[in-house]
Amino acid sequence: MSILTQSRRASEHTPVADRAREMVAGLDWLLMLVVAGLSAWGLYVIREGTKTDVRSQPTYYFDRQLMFVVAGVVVFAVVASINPEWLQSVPWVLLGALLGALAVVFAIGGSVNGSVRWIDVGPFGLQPSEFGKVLMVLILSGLAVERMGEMEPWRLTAFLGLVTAVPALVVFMQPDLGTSLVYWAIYLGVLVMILTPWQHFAVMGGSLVALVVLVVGVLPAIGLPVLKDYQAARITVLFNPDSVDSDTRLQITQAKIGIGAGGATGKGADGATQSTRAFIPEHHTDFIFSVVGEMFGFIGSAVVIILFGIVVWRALRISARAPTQFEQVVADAVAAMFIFQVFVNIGMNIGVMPVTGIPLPFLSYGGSHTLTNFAAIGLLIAIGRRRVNI
Amino acid sequence: MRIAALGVAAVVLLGILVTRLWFLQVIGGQAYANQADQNRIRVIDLPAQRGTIVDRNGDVLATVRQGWNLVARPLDLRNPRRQSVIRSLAQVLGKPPRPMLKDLAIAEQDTPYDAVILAKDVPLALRAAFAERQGDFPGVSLQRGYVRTYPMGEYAAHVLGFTGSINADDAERYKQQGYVGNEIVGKAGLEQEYESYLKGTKGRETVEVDATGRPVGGGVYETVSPTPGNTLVVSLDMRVQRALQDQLRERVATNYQATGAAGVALDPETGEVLGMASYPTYDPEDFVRGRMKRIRAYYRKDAGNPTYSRFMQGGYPPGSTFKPITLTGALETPLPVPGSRPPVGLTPGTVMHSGQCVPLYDIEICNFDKENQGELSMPGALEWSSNTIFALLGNQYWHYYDRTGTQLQQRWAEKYGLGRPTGIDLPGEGAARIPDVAWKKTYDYGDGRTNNWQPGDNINMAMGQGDVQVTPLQMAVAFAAIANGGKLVTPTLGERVQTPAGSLVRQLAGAHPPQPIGIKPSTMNVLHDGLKLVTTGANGTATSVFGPVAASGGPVIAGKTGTAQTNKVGISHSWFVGYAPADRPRIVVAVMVEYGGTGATAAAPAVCNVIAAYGPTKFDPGLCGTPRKAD
Repeated sequence: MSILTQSRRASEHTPVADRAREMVAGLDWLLMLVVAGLSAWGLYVIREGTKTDVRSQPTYYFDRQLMFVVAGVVVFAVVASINPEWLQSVPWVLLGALLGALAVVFAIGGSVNGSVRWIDVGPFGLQPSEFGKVLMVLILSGLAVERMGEMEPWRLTAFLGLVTAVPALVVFMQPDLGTSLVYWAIYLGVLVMILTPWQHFAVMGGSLVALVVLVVGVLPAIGLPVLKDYQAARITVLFNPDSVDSDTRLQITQAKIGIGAGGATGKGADGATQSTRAFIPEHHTDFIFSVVGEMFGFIGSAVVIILFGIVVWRALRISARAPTQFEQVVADAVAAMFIFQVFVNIGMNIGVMPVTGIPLPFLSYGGSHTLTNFAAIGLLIAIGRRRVNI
Repeated sequence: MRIAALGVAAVVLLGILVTRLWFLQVIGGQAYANQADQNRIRVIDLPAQRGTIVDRNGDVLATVRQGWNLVARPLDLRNPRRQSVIRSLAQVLGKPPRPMLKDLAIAEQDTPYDAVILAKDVPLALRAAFAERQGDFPGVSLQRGYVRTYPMGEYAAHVLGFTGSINADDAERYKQQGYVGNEIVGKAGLEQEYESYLKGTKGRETVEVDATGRPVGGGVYETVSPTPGNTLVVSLDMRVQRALQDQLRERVATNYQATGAAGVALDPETGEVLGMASYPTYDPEDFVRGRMKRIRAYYRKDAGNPTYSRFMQGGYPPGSTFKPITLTGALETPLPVPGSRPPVGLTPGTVMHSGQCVPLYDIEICNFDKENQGELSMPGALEWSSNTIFALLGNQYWHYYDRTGTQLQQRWAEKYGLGRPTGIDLPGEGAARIPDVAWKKTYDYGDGRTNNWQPGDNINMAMGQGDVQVTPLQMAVAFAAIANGGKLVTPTLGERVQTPAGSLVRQLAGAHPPQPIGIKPSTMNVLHDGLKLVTTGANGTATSVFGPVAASGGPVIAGKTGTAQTNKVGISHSWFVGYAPADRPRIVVAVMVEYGGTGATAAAPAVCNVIAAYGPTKFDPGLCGTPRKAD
C-alpha cells in the first residue's frame, strides 16, 4: 500500500488543516531544535572568536557562516520534503556524480593549505568530498539493500568495501585523510545495520591495525611512504609527542591549553585569550571545540556533547521506526557519520585522537560541510515524517 | 538490536570525551589557565640610551639619536610562516633574507620570547611602507631604538671602535652577561672596553599580546623605565687628534710608496693619550648601520687594512729611534768603551770616532750616506745618528752576553716597555717583539739560517734593525720615559665615568702611577742633550724640520729620527718620536709611516705639526721646516 495514496486520501476531508498537520506533526521537533541550538551556538562562537582574525572586518567569518546556515536551512527544507525512497534506486547515478565532481576538483580545483579539495564557485569554494558524505550514505544504503538477499554476506561486505574504497581513495589523495575516514565510518554504519556477521568486523579490525602498522611503521621504514609526513606525524604524535613538527605539536598543545584554561565554567567570550588572540590555529574550523571549551568550560563542553548525543539518539530512533529497510539503513548510517565526526573532531581537540581534518558538525565554520550536515538532518526528518503515517 | 549496539557505541565514545574533558578542565584547569596567561603576557625590553663619549674638552665623539628598528620574537614568528614573512619583508627592505632568518633561528634556541632586531634604523620611507602593509608581516613590529652616531666621522675611529649586533659566535658569552638576542654591544675600541659603563640598563614593559605578538587593547601592566648609559670622558684632545690624523693622511699621500701610517700622542707625565690614529681608516657608522658595500670594501686586499690599529697592533722595526735605548744601557752598565785596553767604562763624557764605515766580523757597517762624522760625544752620536758608533756599542752588548750570559740589551728594551703590551685600555693590543736567545732558538725564518744568537743580532738591535719590532704606542711610552726623567707610564684613554647629569661614577685616570725605571740623572742628561741636538744641532738629522721652530721662539722639540730597513730593498719605514718643550715636556708624539722613506722626510714633519696643534705647546705649524733627507 502506497503511503502517498494514504496521505492523499486523508487530505480529502479538510485539505488545509490536514496538510498543515501533516507538515508539522511528523517532524522530529527535538532534533530540529537541537540542530538549531548547535548552529546558533556555533555562530556565536565564530563571531566572538574571530573578531580580530581579518583586519578591519570583525564579522568576516560570522557573516559568511550565517549565510551558510541560511543556505543550509534551505537545503534542509528541500531534502526534508522529498520522499527518501526516490533515492534508493539511483546509487550508481549518485556514485557517478560524486566521482565526477571529485574529478573536476583534480582538474580545476583550488588549493587551501596544500590540499586540493575545492571547486571555486564565485567567491566561495565548493568541496565535493563533503557532499560525498551524504551521497555515500545513500549510495551504500541503496546498494546494500538491493543486494542483501542476492549476495553471500562476505561478498556483500567486500563489494560495499570496494564501492567505498574508490571515492575514499580519491579523497585521500587530495589529500584529505579525515573525509575519507568518514566514508569508511559510513560504510561500517551500513554494515552494522544490514546484519553483517560480527566476524567481518573482527577481521576488518585486525586488518586495520595491521594496515596502520604497515603504513605508519613498516612502509616508511623501507622507503615507501604512503601518508604525507604531516599525516603520519599526526597519528604517531599520540604515542610519541616529539615525533611531529613543531607546528602540529603547537596546535595540539595550544588547543589543550585553551580547553583546559576554560576550567569548570569557562572564561566567557572576552576572557578566552587562547581563542580570541589566535593562539590556537584553525580556531574557527577544526579546532572550534577548543574555543567552546575555553569560553564555556566543562559545563558548556558537556552540553555540546550531550546535544550531539541527542542528535545521534534521534537518528537511531528514526532508524528504528523507519518504514523501509533502505530508510532504516540511511538513518543509521547518518548516525554513524555524526558519531564518528564528533568523536574524532572533539577527540583531536582534547588530544585523544590524531589531528585529521574533520570539522565539528554545525559548529565549525565552512560552507560545504554545513550544507552537508543540514542535508543529512533533512534526510532524517524526511524519513521520520513518513513513519507517523503508517 | 543492531541499533542498540550503535547506541551503546555512541554513549561509550561520547562518555570518553566527557571523562577526558573532566580531567582537562575541572582537574587540570588551573594549570592550563596559567599557561594561557604566559602565552598572552609579553615582557618587552625598552632599550637604554647608550652613553656618550666625550674628549677632555667636552667635544662629543660618540652619541646616539633615536631611530626605529624592525624586530620580531622567534616564538611569535614561527616556521613556515616565518619563511614567507621574512622573505617578503626582505623584499621591502632590499636586504637578503638569510641573515635575518639565521638570527631568528639562533635566538629561538636561547631566548625565544625576546626581540631580535631584523633591521636597524629603518628610514622613514621604509617605515611608512611597512606600516601600510603591517598585516602582511604578522609577528614583526617597529620598536623605538637608538642609533649610535660618531660626529667626528673618521677621526679617532680606531680608538672609539664601533657598536654592532651580537653575532652567533659571541652569543653564548654575551648571554652569560645578561644580554639577549642580537642586542647591540660595543664591538671594538672604547665601545668594547667600556661597554659595561656605556650600555645603561634596559627597561621593560609588560603587555598583553595576541599570538603574533601584537599588543592588544593597550593593556600595559607594568613599565620599568630604562636607565641611560654613563658618559665616558676620555683623555683625547680632538685638536691633537685631528692634526695627527690629517698629517698621517697627508704623509701617506705625499710619499707615494707609503702604504699606511700610525701615530700616538701622549702626556709624558701621566700617559694620558692625547691623540692616536692609524691610517688608512674607516667610518665607524658604516659598521653601525651595516653598510655592507662599504664594509666589504674595507676588507678588500688593496684597501690597506683600514680596520687594523697599526699604532698598537702593528710591529715595526724602530730603526734609529731605538738608539737612545741602546745608549741608556751602555751608560748605565757601563759597557767598556769599544777598543779600550784595558777596558774603560763608558761615561757621559766619552768621545768616540765615527768614520765612514766600520768593519765588524765579515761585514761593514756604514753611516747614513757614508758620512765621515769625526770625533763624537755621546750626545753627538745621537745628533748624527751614528751607525758606526752604535754598531760598536751593539758589539759590546754581544761581548757582555758572551762573557756573562746576561742579555743586557733585551733587559733595557723591556725596562722601556718595548716588546710587551703597554696595558692601554683598548682591546686587542699587540706585544710586538724584542728578540732574545730563547726566541731565536725556536723562530723559523724559513730559509735555513742557524738559530743561534749571533754578534750581528746585538749589532742589528743596537740600531733598531733585524728582528726588533715595536708598536708606535710602545715607542711613545719609551720616549715618554725619557721625557719625564725615567718613569714608565701606562698609556690610558679613559679619564672618568660620569652620569649623564655629570656626577662622578668612577675615576679612571691615575689608576696606574708611573713606575721609575731607575736611570741615573747623568744618563738622562746625555739623552736629553742628544735628542735636542737631533732637532737643533748643526748636524742634527731633523734640524731642517724642527730648527726653524726653536729659532722663531717656538718650543724646543727634542726627538729622534728612525729609518727602518724593510723587506723592500731601498724603501724604509719612516719614524720620528719627539717631545716638547724639551726642558719641561708636555707632549710626546710618535709617528711611523710605512714605507715612508727616511725619518726626517715623512714622520718628522707630522710630529712637528701635531705638537703645533696642542694647546700647551701651540705654535704656527708654518714654522715646521722643509725636511732634508736624513736618517
